[in-house]
Amino acid sequence: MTTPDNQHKCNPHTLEGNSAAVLNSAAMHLGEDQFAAFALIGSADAAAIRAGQFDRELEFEPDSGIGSATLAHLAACTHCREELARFTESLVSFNHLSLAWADSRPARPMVVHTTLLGRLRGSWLPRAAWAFAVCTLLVALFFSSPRLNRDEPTVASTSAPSTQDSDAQIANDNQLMDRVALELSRPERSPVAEYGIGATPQPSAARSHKVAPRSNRPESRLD
Amino acid sequence: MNDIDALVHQYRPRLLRYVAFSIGDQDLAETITQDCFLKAYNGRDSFRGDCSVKTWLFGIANNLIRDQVRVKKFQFWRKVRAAAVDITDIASVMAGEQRSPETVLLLRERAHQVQSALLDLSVNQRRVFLLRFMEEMDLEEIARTTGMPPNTVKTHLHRSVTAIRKQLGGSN
Repeated sequence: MTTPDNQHKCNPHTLEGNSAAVLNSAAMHLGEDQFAAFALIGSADAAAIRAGQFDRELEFEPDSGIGSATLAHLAACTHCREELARFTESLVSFNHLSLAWADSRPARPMVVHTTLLGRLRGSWLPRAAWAFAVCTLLVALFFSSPRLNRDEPTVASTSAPSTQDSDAQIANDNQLMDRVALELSRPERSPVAEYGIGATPQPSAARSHKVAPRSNRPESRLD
Repeated sequence: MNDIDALVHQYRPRLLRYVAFSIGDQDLAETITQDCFLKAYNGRDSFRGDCSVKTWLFGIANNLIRDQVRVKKFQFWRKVRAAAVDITDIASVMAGEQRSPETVLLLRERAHQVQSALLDLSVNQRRVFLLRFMEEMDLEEIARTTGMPPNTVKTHLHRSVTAIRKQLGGSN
Protein backbone atom coordinates (compact mmCIF):
# COMPACT_ATOMS: atom_id res chain seq x y z
CA MET A 1 0.00 0.00 0.00
CA THR A 2 2.60 2.53 1.05
CA THR A 3 6.15 2.46 -0.17
CA PRO A 4 9.05 4.26 1.47
CA ASP A 5 9.31 6.53 -1.57
CA ASN A 6 5.93 8.08 -1.15
CA GLN A 7 6.09 8.51 2.61
CA HIS A 8 6.61 11.98 3.85
CA LYS A 9 8.67 12.80 6.89
CA CYS A 10 6.21 13.65 9.59
CA ASN A 11 7.32 16.35 11.89
CA PRO A 12 7.01 14.99 15.43
CA HIS A 13 6.07 18.44 16.65
CA THR A 14 2.91 18.30 14.62
CA LEU A 15 1.85 14.96 15.97
CA GLU A 16 -0.86 14.85 18.52
CA GLY A 17 -1.96 12.09 20.80
CA ASN A 18 0.03 8.86 20.86
CA SER A 19 2.70 10.07 18.46
CA ALA A 20 5.21 7.38 19.30
CA ALA A 21 2.82 4.64 18.30
CA VAL A 22 2.02 6.50 15.13
CA LEU A 23 5.65 6.91 14.17
CA ASN A 24 6.39 3.25 14.79
CA SER A 25 4.11 2.18 12.01
CA ALA A 26 5.35 3.14 8.56
CA ALA A 27 2.11 1.95 7.02
CA MET A 28 0.24 4.70 8.79
CA HIS A 29 1.57 7.42 6.54
CA LEU A 30 -0.81 8.26 3.80
CA GLY A 31 0.05 6.68 0.50
CA GLU A 32 -1.55 7.53 -2.82
CA ASP A 33 -4.07 4.73 -2.53
CA GLN A 34 -5.27 6.12 0.77
CA PHE A 35 -5.38 9.57 -0.74
CA ALA A 36 -7.43 8.19 -3.58
CA ALA A 37 -9.87 6.75 -1.12
CA PHE A 38 -9.92 9.77 1.14
CA ALA A 39 -10.43 12.17 -1.72
CA LEU A 40 -13.73 10.53 -2.53
CA ILE A 41 -15.31 11.86 0.57
CA GLY A 42 -17.40 14.98 0.32
CA SER A 43 -16.34 18.51 1.09
CA ALA A 44 -18.18 18.42 4.42
CA ASP A 45 -16.12 15.45 5.51
CA ALA A 46 -12.98 17.18 4.26
CA ALA A 47 -13.85 20.14 6.44
CA ALA A 48 -14.44 17.80 9.36
CA ILE A 49 -11.04 16.21 8.85
CA ARG A 50 -9.45 19.63 8.66
CA ALA A 51 -11.11 20.59 11.90
CA GLY A 52 -9.99 17.36 13.51
CA GLN A 53 -13.53 16.16 14.03
CA PHE A 54 -13.03 12.43 13.84
CA ASP A 55 -15.87 11.59 16.13
CA ARG A 56 -18.43 11.99 13.37
CA GLU A 57 -19.26 9.27 10.88
CA LEU A 58 -17.28 9.64 7.68
CA GLU A 59 -18.54 7.99 4.56
CA PHE A 60 -15.68 5.86 3.38
CA GLU A 61 -15.95 3.26 0.72
CA PRO A 62 -16.10 -0.28 2.12
CA ASP A 63 -13.12 -1.37 0.00
CA SER A 64 -11.17 1.84 0.29
CA GLY A 65 -8.49 0.23 2.39
CA ILE A 66 -8.69 2.92 5.04
CA GLY A 67 -7.89 1.16 8.24
CA SER A 68 -8.16 2.28 11.81
CA ALA A 69 -4.38 2.77 11.93
CA THR A 70 -4.57 5.24 9.07
CA LEU A 71 -7.41 7.07 10.73
CA ALA A 72 -5.43 7.20 13.93
CA HIS A 73 -2.47 8.64 12.08
CA LEU A 74 -4.68 11.17 10.41
CA ALA A 75 -6.12 12.18 13.74
CA ALA A 76 -2.64 12.62 15.16
CA CYS A 77 -0.72 14.13 12.25
CA THR A 78 -1.63 17.70 11.44
CA HIS A 79 0.56 17.67 8.38
CA CYS A 80 -1.21 14.72 6.78
CA ARG A 81 -4.59 16.00 7.80
CA GLU A 82 -4.02 19.39 6.25
CA GLU A 83 -2.56 17.95 3.13
CA LEU A 84 -5.49 15.61 2.70
CA ALA A 85 -7.94 18.43 3.30
CA ARG A 86 -6.10 20.61 0.79
CA PHE A 87 -6.08 17.80 -1.72
CA THR A 88 -9.76 17.07 -1.24
CA GLU A 89 -10.80 20.70 -1.41
CA SER A 90 -8.79 21.18 -4.58
CA LEU A 91 -10.53 18.27 -6.21
CA VAL A 92 -13.92 19.45 -5.04
CA SER A 93 -13.19 22.92 -6.44
CA PHE A 94 -12.05 21.44 -9.70
CA ASN A 95 -15.14 19.26 -9.76
CA HIS A 96 -17.47 22.25 -9.33
CA LEU A 97 -15.66 24.48 -11.78
CA SER A 98 -15.24 21.87 -14.48
CA LEU A 99 -18.85 20.78 -14.23
CA ALA A 100 -19.97 24.40 -14.37
CA TRP A 101 -17.82 24.85 -17.45
CA ALA A 102 -19.38 21.78 -19.11
CA ASP A 103 -22.86 23.03 -18.18
CA SER A 104 -22.12 26.38 -19.75
CA ARG A 105 -21.21 24.87 -23.10
CA PRO A 106 -24.24 24.96 -25.39
CA ALA A 107 -25.34 21.61 -26.73
CA ARG A 108 -25.29 21.18 -30.47
CA PRO A 109 -28.57 20.10 -32.02
CA MET A 110 -28.76 16.36 -32.33
CA VAL A 111 -30.02 15.01 -35.64
CA VAL A 112 -31.60 11.68 -34.92
CA HIS A 113 -33.50 9.76 -37.60
CA THR A 114 -36.95 9.07 -36.27
CA THR A 115 -38.58 8.30 -39.60
CA LEU A 116 -38.77 4.81 -41.04
CA LEU A 117 -36.08 5.64 -43.58
CA GLY A 118 -33.94 7.05 -40.83
CA ARG A 119 -34.34 3.95 -38.73
CA LEU A 120 -33.48 1.79 -41.71
CA ARG A 121 -30.50 3.98 -42.36
CA GLY A 122 -29.47 3.46 -38.80
CA SER A 123 -29.73 -0.29 -38.93
CA TRP A 124 -29.14 -2.47 -41.97
CA LEU A 125 -28.91 0.10 -44.73
CA PRO A 126 -25.40 1.28 -43.92
CA ARG A 127 -24.21 -2.31 -43.95
CA ALA A 128 -25.88 -2.92 -47.30
CA ALA A 129 -24.45 0.30 -48.66
CA TRP A 130 -21.00 -0.64 -47.44
CA ALA A 131 -21.33 -4.11 -48.91
CA PHE A 132 -22.40 -2.64 -52.26
CA ALA A 133 -19.55 -0.14 -52.19
CA VAL A 134 -17.02 -2.84 -51.39
CA CYS A 135 -18.36 -5.06 -54.20
CA THR A 136 -18.20 -2.16 -56.65
CA LEU A 137 -14.67 -1.40 -55.57
CA LEU A 138 -13.62 -5.01 -55.97
CA VAL A 139 -15.14 -5.20 -59.45
CA ALA A 140 -13.45 -1.94 -60.42
CA LEU A 141 -10.14 -3.17 -59.06
CA PHE A 142 -10.57 -6.45 -60.93
CA PHE A 143 -11.12 -4.74 -64.27
CA SER A 144 -8.44 -2.16 -63.76
CA SER A 145 -5.99 -4.73 -62.47
CA PRO A 146 -2.58 -4.82 -64.19
CA ARG A 147 -3.11 -8.56 -64.49
CA LEU A 148 -5.69 -7.93 -67.20
CA ASN A 149 -3.35 -5.57 -68.97
CA ARG A 150 -0.78 -8.29 -68.97
CA ASP A 151 -3.19 -10.55 -70.86
CA GLU A 152 -2.57 -8.77 -74.15
CA PRO A 153 1.16 -9.44 -74.21
CA THR A 154 0.36 -12.98 -73.14
CA VAL A 155 -1.88 -13.47 -76.18
CA ALA A 156 0.74 -11.90 -78.39
CA SER A 157 3.43 -14.12 -76.99
CA THR A 158 1.40 -17.24 -77.54
CA SER A 159 0.77 -16.36 -81.17
CA ALA A 160 4.26 -15.10 -81.86
CA PRO A 161 5.99 -18.48 -82.43
CA SER A 162 3.81 -19.06 -85.52
CA THR A 163 5.13 -15.91 -87.16
CA GLN A 164 8.64 -15.81 -85.84
CA ASP A 165 11.36 -17.88 -87.40
CA SER A 166 12.64 -20.86 -85.58
CA ASP A 167 16.17 -22.17 -85.93
CA ALA A 168 14.97 -24.97 -88.18
CA GLN A 169 13.16 -22.53 -90.44
CA ILE A 170 16.24 -20.35 -90.66
CA ALA A 171 18.31 -23.39 -91.55
CA ASN A 172 15.77 -24.37 -94.24
CA ASP A 173 15.82 -20.87 -95.61
CA ASN A 174 19.58 -20.86 -95.68
CA GLN A 175 19.61 -24.15 -97.48
CA LEU A 176 17.10 -22.79 -99.98
CA MET A 177 19.17 -19.71 -100.50
CA ASP A 178 22.25 -21.85 -100.94
CA ARG A 179 20.46 -23.85 -103.60
CA VAL A 180 19.34 -20.69 -105.33
CA ALA A 181 22.88 -19.32 -105.17
CA LEU A 182 24.16 -22.60 -106.55
CA GLU A 183 21.71 -22.48 -109.41
CA LEU A 184 22.64 -18.92 -110.15
CA SER A 185 26.32 -19.60 -109.98
CA ARG A 186 26.15 -22.29 -112.70
CA PRO A 187 27.69 -21.16 -115.94
CA GLU A 188 25.00 -20.69 -118.48
CA ARG A 189 25.16 -19.84 -122.04
CA SER A 190 24.00 -16.37 -122.59
CA PRO A 191 21.12 -16.02 -125.03
CA VAL A 192 23.14 -13.35 -126.70
CA ALA A 193 26.02 -15.77 -127.06
CA GLU A 194 23.69 -18.38 -128.46
CA TYR A 195 22.99 -16.06 -131.29
CA GLY A 196 26.61 -15.14 -131.56
CA ILE A 197 26.13 -11.50 -130.67
CA GLY A 198 28.83 -9.69 -128.63
CA ALA A 199 30.94 -11.04 -125.90
CA THR A 200 30.10 -13.83 -123.52
CA PRO A 201 28.98 -12.47 -120.14
CA GLN A 202 31.19 -12.94 -117.09
CA PRO A 203 29.57 -15.56 -114.86
CA SER A 204 31.86 -14.64 -111.98
CA ALA A 205 30.44 -11.10 -111.87
CA ALA A 206 26.91 -12.40 -111.72
CA ARG A 207 27.93 -14.91 -109.11
CA SER A 208 29.59 -12.35 -106.92
CA HIS A 209 26.57 -10.10 -107.23
CA LYS A 210 24.14 -12.83 -106.15
CA VAL A 211 26.24 -14.43 -103.46
CA ALA A 212 26.65 -11.32 -101.29
CA PRO A 213 23.05 -11.09 -100.03
CA ARG A 214 22.98 -14.84 -99.58
CA SER A 215 25.88 -14.82 -97.16
CA ASN A 216 24.46 -11.81 -95.25
CA ARG A 217 21.02 -13.12 -94.88
CA PRO A 218 21.47 -15.38 -91.82
CA GLU A 219 23.28 -12.62 -90.01
CA SER A 220 20.56 -10.11 -90.70
CA ARG A 221 17.95 -12.54 -89.49
CA LEU A 222 19.84 -13.24 -86.38
CA ASP A 223 19.91 -9.54 -85.69
CA MET B 1 -33.04 5.09 -23.66
CA ASN B 2 -35.53 6.02 -26.36
CA ASP B 3 -35.55 9.66 -25.38
CA ILE B 4 -32.27 11.07 -26.56
CA ASP B 5 -33.07 14.53 -25.27
CA ALA B 6 -33.42 13.21 -21.75
CA LEU B 7 -30.23 11.24 -22.17
CA VAL B 8 -28.35 14.30 -23.35
CA HIS B 9 -29.81 16.49 -20.65
CA GLN B 10 -28.84 14.09 -17.91
CA TYR B 11 -25.38 12.98 -18.97
CA ARG B 12 -23.99 15.54 -21.38
CA PRO B 13 -22.23 17.86 -18.90
CA ARG B 14 -20.42 15.02 -17.16
CA LEU B 15 -19.57 13.31 -20.41
CA LEU B 16 -18.34 16.52 -22.00
CA ARG B 17 -16.23 17.31 -18.97
CA TYR B 18 -14.73 13.85 -18.96
CA VAL B 19 -13.85 13.95 -22.67
CA ALA B 20 -12.65 17.54 -22.58
CA PHE B 21 -10.26 17.02 -19.69
CA SER B 22 -9.15 13.67 -21.03
CA ILE B 23 -8.06 14.99 -24.41
CA GLY B 24 -7.59 18.67 -23.53
CA ASP B 25 -9.39 20.06 -26.57
CA GLN B 26 -12.84 21.47 -26.00
CA ASP B 27 -13.90 21.62 -29.67
CA LEU B 28 -12.92 18.04 -30.24
CA ALA B 29 -14.54 17.10 -26.95
CA GLU B 30 -17.88 18.49 -28.07
CA THR B 31 -17.69 16.57 -31.32
CA ILE B 32 -16.80 13.36 -29.51
CA THR B 33 -19.56 13.89 -26.97
CA GLN B 34 -22.10 14.35 -29.72
CA ASP B 35 -20.82 11.27 -31.53
CA CYS B 36 -21.08 9.39 -28.28
CA PHE B 37 -24.76 10.20 -27.88
CA LEU B 38 -25.50 9.37 -31.50
CA LYS B 39 -23.71 6.04 -31.18
CA ALA B 40 -25.52 5.33 -27.95
CA TYR B 41 -28.87 6.14 -29.45
CA ASN B 42 -28.30 4.15 -32.62
CA GLY B 43 -26.97 1.23 -30.63
CA ARG B 44 -29.47 1.40 -27.80
CA ASP B 45 -30.74 -2.07 -28.67
CA SER B 46 -27.32 -3.46 -27.76
CA PHE B 47 -27.55 -2.09 -24.23
CA ARG B 48 -28.23 -5.18 -22.15
CA GLY B 49 -28.55 -3.48 -18.82
CA ASP B 50 -25.68 -5.37 -17.21
CA CYS B 51 -24.11 -2.04 -16.27
CA SER B 52 -25.45 1.42 -15.60
CA VAL B 53 -26.28 3.79 -18.46
CA LYS B 54 -23.54 6.06 -17.19
CA THR B 55 -20.93 3.30 -17.38
CA TRP B 56 -22.15 2.34 -20.82
CA LEU B 57 -21.99 5.92 -22.09
CA PHE B 58 -18.55 6.49 -20.65
CA GLY B 59 -17.42 3.24 -22.25
CA ILE B 60 -18.54 4.53 -25.67
CA ALA B 61 -16.80 7.83 -24.99
CA ASN B 62 -13.63 5.96 -24.05
CA ASN B 63 -13.65 4.09 -27.34
CA LEU B 64 -14.06 7.36 -29.23
CA ILE B 65 -11.24 8.98 -27.26
CA ARG B 66 -9.00 6.00 -27.93
CA ASP B 67 -9.75 6.14 -31.66
CA GLN B 68 -9.16 9.86 -31.76
CA VAL B 69 -5.88 9.67 -29.93
CA ARG B 70 -4.73 6.80 -32.11
CA VAL B 71 -5.58 8.52 -35.37
CA LYS B 72 -4.46 12.02 -34.51
CA LYS B 73 -1.70 11.33 -32.08
CA PHE B 74 0.78 13.85 -33.37
CA GLN B 75 -1.69 16.60 -34.09
CA PHE B 76 -3.24 15.89 -30.74
CA TRP B 77 -0.10 16.51 -28.73
CA ARG B 78 0.59 19.70 -30.61
CA LYS B 79 -2.88 20.99 -29.96
CA VAL B 80 -3.24 19.94 -26.37
CA ARG B 81 -1.76 23.00 -24.76
CA ALA B 82 -3.09 25.55 -27.22
CA ALA B 83 -6.74 24.49 -27.03
CA ALA B 84 -6.76 23.54 -23.38
CA VAL B 85 -9.99 24.06 -21.53
CA ASP B 86 -10.04 27.05 -19.23
CA ILE B 87 -12.32 26.63 -16.26
CA THR B 88 -11.23 29.70 -14.38
CA ASP B 89 -13.46 31.98 -16.41
CA ILE B 90 -16.55 30.51 -14.79
CA ALA B 91 -17.05 33.43 -12.45
CA SER B 92 -20.40 32.53 -10.99
CA VAL B 93 -19.36 29.22 -9.51
CA MET B 94 -18.59 29.28 -5.78
CA ALA B 95 -19.61 32.88 -5.51
CA GLY B 96 -22.88 32.04 -3.83
CA GLU B 97 -21.51 29.54 -1.34
CA GLN B 98 -20.97 32.01 1.49
CA ARG B 99 -17.22 32.09 1.18
CA SER B 100 -14.95 35.02 1.36
CA PRO B 101 -13.53 36.32 -1.91
CA GLU B 102 -10.10 35.22 -0.76
CA THR B 103 -11.32 31.68 -0.18
CA VAL B 104 -13.01 31.58 -3.56
CA LEU B 105 -9.85 32.84 -5.16
CA LEU B 106 -7.79 30.23 -3.36
CA LEU B 107 -10.13 27.42 -4.37
CA ARG B 108 -10.05 28.57 -7.96
CA GLU B 109 -6.29 28.62 -7.84
CA ARG B 110 -6.25 25.08 -6.51
CA ALA B 111 -8.69 23.94 -9.16
CA HIS B 112 -6.42 25.50 -11.73
CA GLN B 113 -3.50 23.62 -10.22
CA VAL B 114 -5.40 20.37 -10.57
CA GLN B 115 -6.10 21.20 -14.19
CA SER B 116 -2.44 22.04 -14.84
CA ALA B 117 -1.37 18.83 -13.20
CA LEU B 118 -3.81 16.90 -15.37
CA LEU B 119 -2.11 18.24 -18.49
CA ASP B 120 1.14 16.64 -17.41
CA LEU B 121 -0.44 13.22 -17.12
CA SER B 122 -0.81 10.70 -19.89
CA VAL B 123 -4.23 10.30 -21.46
CA ASN B 124 -4.77 7.01 -19.66
CA GLN B 125 -3.78 8.47 -16.30
CA ARG B 126 -6.12 11.38 -16.87
CA ARG B 127 -8.97 9.09 -17.81
CA VAL B 128 -8.54 6.97 -14.71
CA PHE B 129 -8.12 9.99 -12.45
CA LEU B 130 -11.23 11.72 -13.79
CA LEU B 131 -13.36 8.60 -13.57
CA ARG B 132 -12.21 8.01 -10.01
CA PHE B 133 -12.41 11.49 -8.58
CA MET B 134 -14.92 13.30 -10.76
CA GLU B 135 -17.29 10.45 -11.58
CA GLU B 136 -16.65 8.61 -8.33
CA MET B 137 -16.37 5.23 -9.99
CA ASP B 138 -14.72 2.38 -8.13
CA LEU B 139 -11.76 0.53 -9.59
CA GLU B 140 -13.91 -2.28 -10.94
CA GLU B 141 -16.17 0.15 -12.76
CA ILE B 142 -13.22 2.09 -14.17
CA ALA B 143 -11.71 -1.15 -15.46
CA ARG B 144 -14.99 -2.06 -17.13
CA THR B 145 -15.43 1.40 -18.62
CA THR B 146 -11.92 1.81 -19.96
CA GLY B 147 -11.30 -1.82 -20.85
CA MET B 148 -8.11 -1.81 -18.78
CA PRO B 149 -7.17 -4.58 -16.36
CA PRO B 150 -7.80 -3.58 -12.72
CA ASN B 151 -4.09 -3.64 -11.92
CA THR B 152 -3.41 -1.22 -14.77
CA VAL B 153 -6.13 1.03 -13.41
CA LYS B 154 -4.46 0.94 -9.99
CA THR B 155 -1.10 1.81 -11.51
CA HIS B 156 -2.52 4.76 -13.45
CA LEU B 157 -4.40 5.94 -10.39
CA HIS B 158 -1.32 5.71 -8.20
CA ARG B 159 0.79 7.72 -10.64
CA SER B 160 -1.86 10.31 -11.26
CA VAL B 161 -2.51 10.87 -7.56
CA THR B 162 1.22 11.16 -6.95
CA ALA B 163 1.54 13.78 -9.70
CA ILE B 164 -1.49 15.78 -8.58
CA ARG B 165 -0.42 15.59 -4.96
CA LYS B 166 3.00 16.90 -5.89
CA GLN B 167 1.48 19.71 -7.95
CA LEU B 168 -0.66 20.71 -5.01
CA GLY B 169 2.40 20.94 -2.81
CA GLY B 170 1.94 17.67 -1.00
CA SER B 171 4.57 15.30 0.33
CA ASN B 172 6.23 12.74 -1.86
